[in-house]
This record gives sequence, C-alpha cells and structure tokens, in this order.
Amino acid sequence: MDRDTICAIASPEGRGAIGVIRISGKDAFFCLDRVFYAKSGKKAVERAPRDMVMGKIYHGDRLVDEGMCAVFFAPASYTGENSAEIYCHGGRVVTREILSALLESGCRLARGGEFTERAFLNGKMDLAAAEAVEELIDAANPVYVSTAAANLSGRFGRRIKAIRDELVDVATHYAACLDYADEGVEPPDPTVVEEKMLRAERELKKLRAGCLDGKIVREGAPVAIVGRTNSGKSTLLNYVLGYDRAIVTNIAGTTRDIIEESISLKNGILRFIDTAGFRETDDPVERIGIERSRESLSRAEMVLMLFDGSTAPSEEDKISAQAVENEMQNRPNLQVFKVINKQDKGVSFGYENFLPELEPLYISAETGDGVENLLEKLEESLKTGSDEADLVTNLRHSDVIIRTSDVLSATVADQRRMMTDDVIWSGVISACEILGEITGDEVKEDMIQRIFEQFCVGK
Amino acid sequence: MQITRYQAGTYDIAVIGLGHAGIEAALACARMGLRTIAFTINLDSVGNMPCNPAIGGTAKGHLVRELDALGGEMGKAADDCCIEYRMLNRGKGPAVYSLRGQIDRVKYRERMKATLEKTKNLYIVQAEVVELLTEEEKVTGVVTRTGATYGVKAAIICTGTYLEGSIIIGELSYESGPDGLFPSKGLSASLAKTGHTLRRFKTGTPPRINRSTVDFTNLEVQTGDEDIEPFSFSTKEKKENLAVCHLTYTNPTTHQIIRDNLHRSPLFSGNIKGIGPRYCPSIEDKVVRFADKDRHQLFVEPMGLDTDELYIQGFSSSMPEEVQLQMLHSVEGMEHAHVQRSAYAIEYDCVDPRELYPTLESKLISGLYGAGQFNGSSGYEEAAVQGFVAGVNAANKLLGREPFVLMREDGYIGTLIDDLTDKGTNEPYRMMTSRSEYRLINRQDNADQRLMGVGHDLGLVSDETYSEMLQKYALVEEEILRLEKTGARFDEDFFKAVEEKTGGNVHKGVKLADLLRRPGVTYDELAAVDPDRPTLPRDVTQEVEIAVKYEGYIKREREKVDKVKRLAKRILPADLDYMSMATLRLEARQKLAAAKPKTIGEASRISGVSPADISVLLLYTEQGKA
Repeated sequence: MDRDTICAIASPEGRGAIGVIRISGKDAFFCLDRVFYAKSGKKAVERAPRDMVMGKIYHGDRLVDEGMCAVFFAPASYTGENSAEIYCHGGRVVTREILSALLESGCRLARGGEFTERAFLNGKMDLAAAEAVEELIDAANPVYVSTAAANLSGRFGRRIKAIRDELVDVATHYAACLDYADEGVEPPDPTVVEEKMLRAERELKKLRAGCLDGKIVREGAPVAIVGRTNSGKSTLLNYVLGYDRAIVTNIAGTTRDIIEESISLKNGILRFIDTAGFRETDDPVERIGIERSRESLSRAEMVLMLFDGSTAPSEEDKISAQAVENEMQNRPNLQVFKVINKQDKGVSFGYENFLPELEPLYISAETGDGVENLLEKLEESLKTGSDEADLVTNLRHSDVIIRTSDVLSATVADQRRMMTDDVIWSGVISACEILGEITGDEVKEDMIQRIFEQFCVGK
Repeated sequence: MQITRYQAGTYDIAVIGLGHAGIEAALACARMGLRTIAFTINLDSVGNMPCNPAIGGTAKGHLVRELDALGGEMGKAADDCCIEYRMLNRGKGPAVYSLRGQIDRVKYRERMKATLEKTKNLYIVQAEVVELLTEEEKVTGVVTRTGATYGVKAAIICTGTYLEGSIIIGELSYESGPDGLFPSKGLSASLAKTGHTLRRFKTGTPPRINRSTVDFTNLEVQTGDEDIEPFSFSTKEKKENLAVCHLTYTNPTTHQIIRDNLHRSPLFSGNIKGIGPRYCPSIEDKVVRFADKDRHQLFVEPMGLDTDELYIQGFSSSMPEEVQLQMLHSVEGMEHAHVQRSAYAIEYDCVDPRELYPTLESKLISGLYGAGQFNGSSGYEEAAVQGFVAGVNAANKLLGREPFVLMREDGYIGTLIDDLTDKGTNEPYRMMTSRSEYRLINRQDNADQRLMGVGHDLGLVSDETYSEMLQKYALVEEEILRLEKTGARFDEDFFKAVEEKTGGNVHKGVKLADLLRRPGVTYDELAAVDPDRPTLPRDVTQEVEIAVKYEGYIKREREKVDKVKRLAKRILPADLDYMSMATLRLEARQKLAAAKPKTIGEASRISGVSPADISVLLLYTEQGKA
C-alpha cells in the first residue's frame, strides 16, 4: 500500500556530532533529490542501495551543509518502503533547516513511532516486535535496551506461548470430556487442573514482576535517602549529582519538598529521593514533609539510612531508623544501606545499635570519600532483579498478563468452591483467549484440533 | 436416450431430499403458506437414520431444543419415537447438559411421513431430481429423472449423502446412496454448471447385528434416566424408557486383526479421496492413531422396539467385509454376532458453504438454498436446523419479508450457520459445545425462553404454546424474587450441614437465594428450611436454580456479548485493499479480500483471520479516522 512520505530527525535533538534525518514513503526519493545532491551526480534511484554517498545539502538555493546519504529500496528497508537517511552535522540549527527543506519538497512530518508503525503495517515485523522497538527508542540506558531487545527476539512471546499452551491442553481435556460425554474420557483431575492453573499464574506473576522492573528500568530505581536533619542527605545528593539541586543549609527542616534526581550508571538508572526526615513535630508544614517522607520510603526500592557520625545519636536518628526497620519488615526485598556520614570528622559511638544486622558504610559527603564505593554497591543491587525476569516493558503485555491472572485466580477459587466443570472450563478458555491477544492464536480452533489429536473420541 | 419432459405444475418452493434437513425445510415453507413440492428418492425412507438410531447428544441436544422453540418438528417427533432418554453430562454444569434419545428408527420414518402428508400446502413425491432450471441466475424450476418439470421460484437442496454417492467397502467401491438406496445422479453436474464449487466429503457407519446372536452376559448395561426430560416444550405426557443400551470394548486381538489388514483399508490405500470428519473416525483410524490404547469403547444401541437389529457405535469401518467379521467376532459378546448390514464408508458431493449467505441462500443463484450434508455439515440435528433456516428464508423471500438470521450470541444454530457460511469447513462439520463462545447463556434448558418469541413471530409457534412459555418464565421470575426476599427457617442441623459442605458461616436469617448460591446446595434440599414454598413444576424450579446459582457467570457472559456487539459494529470501508496490507498474513488477506466483510465483527468471524489480524484492521480503521 502506497503511503505518503514522512520525514523526521532521527538523532537526539541538540547534542551530538552527527545528525540523522530519515525519510520514508512513496515519494521519498523525489523529495530527497530536491535536498541532497550527490557528488557523483547520481539521483537517488540510480545509487546502489545502502551505499553511503557524499553530497551537498540544499534548502532551496542555499547550501545548508555537506554530508552523507544512504538510500533503501522497498521492500528492503526498515519500513518496507522506499526510504533514505541523511547524515549531517549535528546540532539543532542544521537538522532543523534540512527538515524544513524536506517538508517544502513534499514530505510530511512523521508522528512519533510512525516509522515503526509503517514497518509493522508493511509486514516487516509483528506487533510485539514493533512495540519493543518503540521502547528501544525511548530507552535511556543499556539494561533497558537489552530487555527491549529480548522482547524483540520473542523470548517474552515464547514464555507466554508456553503458558498458554499448557492452559489450552487443560481446556482441551475438558472439551473432550464434555463434548464426548459418553465415550469414556477420564475427566480432568481437579487437583491437577488447579495445579496447572496455579503454575500458569506463578509464571505470569514472574512476568508481571517484570512489569514493575520494567518501569524501574525505564525511570530508574527509586532510592530513598533517610536520615535526621543535618545528617548530610542533601550534601550527599548534591555530591552524587554534581551540582546544587537540593538546597543545603543548616536550618532544620529545609528540605521540605521531596527532591528527586536521577543518575545514569552502567547498569541502569538510580532515582534518588531526598526525604525531609522523620521526627516529632507540631509544625503543620513540617508534618506534611514527614508524611511525604513516609510515602517516599514506601515506594523506594533501596534505602540509604544516613547517620551523622560526627555527633552522638539523637532521638530523631532513633525515629528514622525505626521507620526504616518497619519498612524492612514489611518488604523483605527492600535493599537498605547503613551509611555513616562525616567520617572525616570522627565516628561517634551508638550507631552500632541501629540496624545492627547491616554492615555500615563510611563516607564523607562533603569530601566525597567513600561515595564512589557506595554508588558501586547501589549499582550492584540494581543489577540483580532485572536480569532474571523477562521484562514486560509494555502496557499492552502487562494488561494481558493482569487480566489473565485475574481470570485464573477467579477460576481457581471457583474450583475450590466446587463449581461445576462448565464454569471451570469457561474460565480456562477465557484465560487462553486473553493470552491469544499476544500470541495471535484462536483457542477454539486449537482446542478442537487437539481433542482429536489427544483423545480417541468419535463414533 | 433423451426423456420427454412434461410440465408437472408450478409451486412456490421445491425441496430436494426428505431427510432431516428436507423435512424441516418443507414443513417450514408449507406452514408459512407457500405451495411446496418435496422430492425424495424413496418415500419409505423419509427421515431415515442411516447412521446411529439416536437424536441429540452433546451440543446436538441444544440444536434440537432450539429448533423446537422456533417451531421445528424434530423434537416432537423424537419424543413420539424415543425409547430411551439420557441427559448427558449431569453434574458437569447446566451449560453442558445435553439430552440424547434412542429412537425407534422405523417409527420415526412413519411419523415424519405422516406429518408431511397431513401438512397443508405440502406435496411429497417419490422422484429423483436431476436438473435445476435457472434463468438469469434465478431458480425457475426442477426436472426429475422421469421428465417431470416443475416450475418453482425457490429450491432447497437437502441431498445428504445421496448426491453422486458412492459406497466403499475394502477394495470395493460402487455408486449408491446410504442404506442400499439409490444415489442422486445428475443434479450435481447441473449445480456445477451454475458455478458452484462442489467438493467430496466422506463419512462412514458401523455394522448392524442381530440381537439374538449377541452374548450379553458380560456386557455392561446402560439404562435411561429416571426423571425423563423430553425434547419438546410441547410434550406434556409422561415418557418412559422402553429399551437399554450396552457397552463392550475392542481388545488387542481386534487391534491385531486391524493392523494385519490395514493395507486393505481404502483409507490407508488411498482409495478414499473424500475428506472424512476427525470426530467420526473409523475403528481403523483409532487403532492407528492411538496405538497405545489397548481397548476402545463400543456402544450397542437398539434400532427400534419391533426389530432385533442393533447398531454398534464406535465400530465404523471401511474394511473388506470378511475382515469386518473377524474384527467383530473378536469382541466380547460378539463372538457369534450375525451381521445384518455391513459397515461402509460413503462419499458424496457437497458445496463449499462459503458460497452461501447466512440465510443459506446461494450467493450465485437467487432462490437456491442448501441445508445439511450438502452444506458440509454432519449429523441429523445439524441438518434439521439448517433445513428450517433455509425453509424460513425461502418463504420469507417469496413473501417479501426480511431475512431470518440467527447470530452466534443467539445460540447454537446461529453459531453453526455462522461457522459454516463465514469460515467454511474442510471436513463434515459437527456441532460441539466447544464451538460456542456463550455456553452459559445459550443453554439447552432455556432455548424456549431464548427463541420461542422468534418462532412465534414467524408464525410457526402457536399463541397457546408461546403464552405457556411466557407463563413458565413468569413463575421463574416470581420464585427467584421470593428466594431473594425470604429468609431460611432456622435449622441448626441443616445450617451446620451446609457450612460443612460449602465452607463459610451460615448466619441466622440467611436468605434462601444466598443458600442456593452455594455450590452443591440444591433447590430441592432447601425445602427443609423453606416451609412456605409453592408447588412448582420441575422445569420451573430447574430454571430458578440455574439462574440463581450461575447469576454471576451469566452476567459476565452477557457483558462479553455486549462488548463483542459494540466492537463488531465498527465499519470497514468497502474500498479497503486487503491484498496490499502486508501485515496481514497472506491467508487473512485472501480471505478478507474474498469475503469483503462490512464490519470488524464480520471480519473476526472469518476463519484464518486471527485476533492479531483484527488488531491490524483496527489500526487501519483508526488510521483512516485520523
């Protein structure tokens, strides 16, 4: 199907030594030839596909830049259409001007994701792959890129297929038994059926846990910094971020608003949340800050429990440590780091009584001593968690997983209540139907096919 | 030699074949006031059961009940001739309950012939139709082998396995219809000339034996239900079981005989070209495909009360006769069985049902309809419902009324016809509960409630019957309301027993409906704590129990229906160029281009169009809007 011609800047805006502009559609070459003039004098259609050629880039009569260009002939291109890429000098001004030139030559500005959508519509990739590509583009860090790539290669799809496959077998057993009522097919054993549904649920839960991780990978793992006033939370954050994002003062309770800032490490993103601390107070404004601190703590994946080593433990330290300890008890997976700050100014006794099971890390947020080591530890724990699970980084997939899990839970409950086979069967079929939204298979056909493969029925 | 043709009169509609499809078609047309002529190759074989002497069974029982609600004949006739009733899947849930009845085969034929003869506007003739006459792609008449030419405005083809039928037994193959009757010759070629794609399907039947030569000593007896539910809403008299069935099994010796003689089976030697149904495998098929099974169940059914002939379900075969005998004699109880009719496979011509509209009218020839095995289905009940739908539509067309189309969500009839005409079929199509998406709302017990209004509107259900149905469901409503409002009488022992059985506390003052909702608690049991209960007929209390117990599931399924209806309404532009939509799989592209669905709903029902393809179509339609 011939679609109109679209173009877009493909490189990140603003920075970078090279800018890339992409064109795709039925008039891609016509438009290109009005902007890019190859040194060889050859028009786009005369050039070899995928060959990088030098040339001059014009906007009307005006020379904008010198650069390179490659053409791709349909269907051997990303989108499956005639398309081209122009490589020019980076920077907003040049890329924008080239884009304007292309728009004037007859292209239309692409919507976000439209190149991939066309690739999908032209049969270059399936829906799951297309969705993964869009995420690849949005991905901000290396781990994220590798998960998106895993989806692309269908690892996720294979796991979903395997789960569905087992459920279709269960549905088939019911079908054979119920549709051939009198032919001696042994009815499914309720305990086996329940076990299979529970196993499917567990498998889905693993994938669903991946949904959460997927968000962490994309946006960063939330790290809450907890500690009493003046324990050096803001100083640590500023040191890590390398600039003054948080206001650092000595007046208690300055950091009333929750401050969030991300840093990108080799293994992923850390999103630091500076909390206002925990203490008894009558000040209503401060109380709001403390409430927010609790909230931050509850959504953190990691916690830095910060103590000021230069002074003796205070009541506020006790309250803060208690809050963290409570959270640890509720969430066994919560990663907590006990950090003694201001070690350059001496380490007071008493802190060994807080979170005693944790090995303390000594730092100085002011000088930076030990901060590097702390970051390494954080990065290490970031690595675990996202490696194992297949990350479901996509809304549609997680929606399917959640709906399937819901149906399975309800069906398991029905079975425990000894509901009749027709209801259990319908539940299992519904679960297969929903998973089919990802795998693209039709459950009725599968089921009927399998009845006759697996059961000897019929007169 | 060319036969001299003569004008034999003009009628509104011709029905070709008087099997289960033809009977319903002819009766529907005549009852709707159309002058109808119906042909059969042998008048003594009207409504014949050339395969098992039974009506109903899983999903098929649903079809019979739905047909009965619409005003068809099969359910009433089955009740008149039934010698053993069994409700299958009892205890497995109301969605899969299915009624099956063993039928006195000869009595059924006589019953149906008499009904046809007594029906006003209907004329039945023993004759073989050999040609369909058309003008400008419209039906104008039919011609019989003897040259009689009838002018008609519509024709309904219900030719079953007769159409160019040929029987295969081992190495032997000869032209024949079923049960030693003549095949239908010539009509097939006439239909092909009108542009229809004819295909060859295959089916088979087991041997019949004489009861007095069977040793029943070690055979398991299967008796009928104690509390019989009849097929038809109109059957009011008490029914009785008059016969029993028996079970026996094949054994390793039987299987060895089969393996030793496989090379002589036409199925494996390639002599049979027709496509046989997966769900109707011959015993050879089963032994080959399930080599690890050391026995297969055989079900011995009586053919009637006035005959000693028995039918052996599960023993279909196309082996040579002498091999069949060896096989049979190796089975327990059958050691000395005398075979009265041999098993055979039969091939016949049928149409690709995708050449039909959901009204079962041909897309190529106006006024031409098909039903039953001709449309690629299998089974008496599947045939009967199609015959009815084709008959009503032919009548409606001539009367200038709107087409009569049941949707999937309306029940099994809608599902069956939708599957056939939209998706087509590669083998004789059998109805199964697996094929329905809406099992919990489209049950056999509520077919009357679902469809009798439609039958009444068609004029095929009497005012009296219709108002009886309305009355029944008024009682159901009233009783549900009473159970919701009325508290159970406190009875510590009873409450304890319920707690033990279902878990969860039962509080004093609990409403009767809440107790009934608990799995395992029946309406009848509740009588103990429901002293003021009115006396209600069984069919009413059954509906009450199902409606209360399955309320949540039924509601969920209704929501599903609503959602499907909403989505299905989304329009697909007529000029969509499916062939250029590279994302659709090639099969989906071709099928969509051929079917030109008007809506997403229609597209989603085409076989080979997957949910993923539907996502693509949704994307396209969304793009179109942007």
